[in-house]
Amino acid sequence: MKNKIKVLRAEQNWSQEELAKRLGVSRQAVNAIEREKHDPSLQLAFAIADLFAKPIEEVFLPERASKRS
Amino acid sequence: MHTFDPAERHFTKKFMFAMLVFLLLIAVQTFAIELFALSTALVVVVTVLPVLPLVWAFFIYRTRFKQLDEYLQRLTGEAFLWTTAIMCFVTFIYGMLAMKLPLPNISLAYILPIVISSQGLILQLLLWEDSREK
Repeated sequence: MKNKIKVLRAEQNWSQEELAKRLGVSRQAVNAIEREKHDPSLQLAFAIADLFAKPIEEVFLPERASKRS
Repeated sequence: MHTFDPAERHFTKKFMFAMLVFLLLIAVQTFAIELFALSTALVVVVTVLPVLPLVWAFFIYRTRFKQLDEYLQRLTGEAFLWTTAIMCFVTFIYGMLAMKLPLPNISLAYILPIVISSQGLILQLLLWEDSREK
C-alpha cells in the first residue's frame, strides 16, 4: 500500500527514530512502512494519520486508488 | 548504532541470567554424574535439570515477543517459519539418507541451539532484506 509518510515526516523534520518513538513502534517498523514493505494494521494506520493530523485516506493510498490515479 | 530500550535491556538481562543458570546446571550435571555414584532416578533428575532454565528462557522470550510491535512480530514469526521448514527438511533428508547409508549419529541435543541461533540469524537477514534500497 502506497503512503506519504516519508513526505509528511520530512515536513515535520522528524527522523524515523523520532516518528517511531511518537508512535510507540520500532524504527524498523517505520522504515518498512515507508518503503511499503509492511502494511500497518488499521490501529497503527489511524495512529499515524492522527499524528500528522490528516485523514487516513490522505496518508495511505490502497493499491486500487493508486492504480486509478 | 543500535541502542537498547528499557524493555529490551530488561529482556536481555533476564535472558542472559537464564542462560547462566543453564550453563551452571550443565556443569553441575557433568560433575555430579562423574564424581558421585548416583542412583538411576537421580541421574535422570540431574540430567534433565538444565531444561528448567531453558523453559524459563522460553517464557522470558514469549513476554518479549508480546511487547514487540506488529512489524517485528511478523518478521519474528516468519523467521520461525523459515527455521522450522529448514530444520524439518534437513532432519528429514538426513533421516532418509541414514536409513540407506551408514551416517554418523547426531545428538538431538544439538537441535535446540541450532534452532535458536538460526532463528536469530534469519530474523536479521529478513530485517536486512526489508531495509535494503530498492
